[in-house]
Parts: sequence; structure tokens; C-alpha cells
Amino acid sequence: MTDSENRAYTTHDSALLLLPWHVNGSLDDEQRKMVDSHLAVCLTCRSELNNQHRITQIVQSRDATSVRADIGFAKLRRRIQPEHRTLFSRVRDWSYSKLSAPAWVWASGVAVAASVFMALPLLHDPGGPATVPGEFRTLSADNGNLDFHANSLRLVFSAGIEDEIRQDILRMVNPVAVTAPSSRGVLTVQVPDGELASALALLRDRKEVRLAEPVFSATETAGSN
Amino acid sequence: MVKTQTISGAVAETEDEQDALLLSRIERREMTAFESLYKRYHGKLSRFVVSTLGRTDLADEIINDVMYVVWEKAASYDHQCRPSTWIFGIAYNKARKHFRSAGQPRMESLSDFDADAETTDSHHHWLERLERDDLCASILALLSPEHRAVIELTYFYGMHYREIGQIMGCPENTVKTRMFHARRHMATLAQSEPGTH
Repeated sequence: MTDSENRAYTTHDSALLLLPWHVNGSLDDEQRKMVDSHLAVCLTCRSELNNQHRITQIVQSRDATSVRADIGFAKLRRRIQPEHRTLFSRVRDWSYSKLSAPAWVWASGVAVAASVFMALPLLHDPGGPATVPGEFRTLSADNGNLDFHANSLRLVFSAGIEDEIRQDILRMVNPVAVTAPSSRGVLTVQVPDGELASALALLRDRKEVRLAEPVFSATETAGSN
Repeated sequence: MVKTQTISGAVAETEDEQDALLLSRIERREMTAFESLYKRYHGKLSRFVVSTLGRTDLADEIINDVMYVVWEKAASYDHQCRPSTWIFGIAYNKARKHFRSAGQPRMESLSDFDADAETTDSHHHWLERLERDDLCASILALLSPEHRAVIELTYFYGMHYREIGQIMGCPENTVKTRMFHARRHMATLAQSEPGTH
């Protein structure tokens, strides 16, 4: 092989190896010119260039996996700033760490019993949705002069949602306080003042949330006439 | 492109300048800057980690490990490379810990290079097979993590091989040979895939 042939072969090898970066446009001017001048005289490399374009299209058309950035950031922020944890998670963690299993079961039993006891008067009051401070309110109900709690909302998750996801979703709205779920799975969440609308929008955007609505107080007897 | 105003009044116009500005604010422990950078990189890192490892279940954990390092070590960014190179380098190192032993690369060198074998692979019919997305995914899954990383950083992120070398902590020629071998493996796998002929 002559020197000239050797040089040509070396140029061919170099150009061939650089083609992926020629295609993605990242080569500097000198390299690009070298590859371009070789492409002008090399059928093999021109064919390979077309292949490289196809590979680029194939790779770029592959679906990217999406993980929710907001959930991930909430987790990381909790790791960086432990004080950023919500009241809900602190109470939960304290409960798990401080109460032995029998005590936890006992406490749950007491809570259920207390809920049943407090619900008994409602069973004897047929006043309907406008007079009973229920958890849900239908659009057709006469809402009368309901008070609007500017920073509380009621939240119901879809069935089967993992606890970790529930916590992440709750963290998204920076809750000030979260009540334990009712027997119907309704949480009452207090958010910072002025953030109710954005919290509702965030929650309603999540497929894991079945219901998110502002809390209305129905202590008056509006609509009972 | 959205321009970012610095405290001193300068305007960060390029993505690199914006990233560098965010890193300097993170160095001052500004959580809002960290959240911005996190959201800028979450999608990119997610794709890179999933593509390199061939697993989706670890993405969330690795991304947060990466960004935790960014939060802790922002001051160590020395501006010798692009911010994205620095962050992807951290991601690659985190992902490496999860490489399966079966995926460890063998030693490669340019002496393996055989132009004839490379350019006459059955007249590139394998590319037509590769265009089937399910086959493409299964073939990429059979490559080593290093090969997948080179493919992803080149074809999807459009990075120069020098930058890829910085991310992967290897010489530039190693990046070129990994690409060469990745291409050859893909061709071989596509041709040998049952039911594709």
C-alpha cells in the first residue's frame, strides 16, 4: 500500500468514526470539513451517513419515561430539609415509632369507637344536606348562607393508592394541618392562607384524587324552610 | 428562550448561562433556584438514566441522588465544563453503581475496528428491522450500559464525543470505539433476532 493509499484509508476510518457526531451537528468546523470532503468522494461513508440519520430518528422517536418532577422534588426537599415535612407525616412517623403494635391497634379501636359515637345523632336527624354538616354537598342542595373556609379543603383519594403517593400529593399543597381520614375516607386539609385555589387546581389535576372541594360550613339552618 | 436576570443585572441568555447562574444561587442555598434546576433537569436525567440502565424503577431514586449531590456540592462546580456535563457526569456515576455484572463492558480498542465488516452489514437491512420500536427497545436492552449511554448522549442529546468522554470519565477514543461496537452489536442483534427475517 502506498503512502497515499494509507492516508486515504486513515481518513476513511477517521471520517467513519466521526459520522455519528457529524449527524448530531456537534463537530467543530475543522472536523466537519474533513468529514465533508471525505463524504464527497466516498460512497460507503455517504451510505453510512444515511444510516446514521435513520438511527438518530429511531432513537429520538423512542418514548421517554416520565416521572413526576413535582413528586420527586418534594421527596428530595424532605431529605434536604427535614423540617419541611408536613404535620401529617410527622404525626404518622411519631405514631409508628412511639406506639407499640398493641397500643396502635388499641388507639385505632378507640378512634373508630369515638367516630361511631359522634355519628349517632346524625342517624336521628333527617334534615338533609343543608342542615347536616355532611362531608359532601350536591349541586342541587340549597346551600343557603354557607360559610366559606378560605384555607380548608376536603380530599378523597382513589382506592388503592399507596401511602407514599398520598403523602407526596399532600406535600404538593404544603398543608398546615391534615385531619385523620373519616370513615368515608375524607381528609380535611388546611392549606396556607391564600393558597386554596392553587391547591385545589393541583389536586384536581391528579388522577389519584377522586374529589377535592373547598370546605363549606353548614352550621346555620339555611334552606330549611 | 427565557432570559434570566441576575442579581447584578446581567442577563443569562443561553441554557448554560442560566444553569450556571442557578448553580451559583444553589451555592448560596436558595431553594427556589434548586427547584428550578431540578425541574429543568428532571426529564433529561430521567430519560438518560432509564435508557442507560434499561430500567425504569430506579430512575426516581437515582435522579434524587444526583440532585442531592448538586445541592451539596454546587460550590465544587469549577466552570471547566458545561453545567450539563457536570450534572450528567454525576448521573452517569450514580447509574454505574447499578450496572449489572452481565453488562460490564469488555476491553475495547480501535484495533477491533474493521471498516469492511462495519459498512457491509447486509446492506443495512437491519435498520429496517430496528425501526420497529419494540425490537429497537429489546436490542438496546441487550447492549451494555456504556454502549447505551454513548448512543443516548450522541443521538438524543446531541453531545460531542469529547463531552461524552468527560461525562463517562474515559478518553475520547474510547467513546468512538464504544459507538462503533454499539453499532455493530445492534446490527448483529437485529439480524439474529428471531422472526425478523
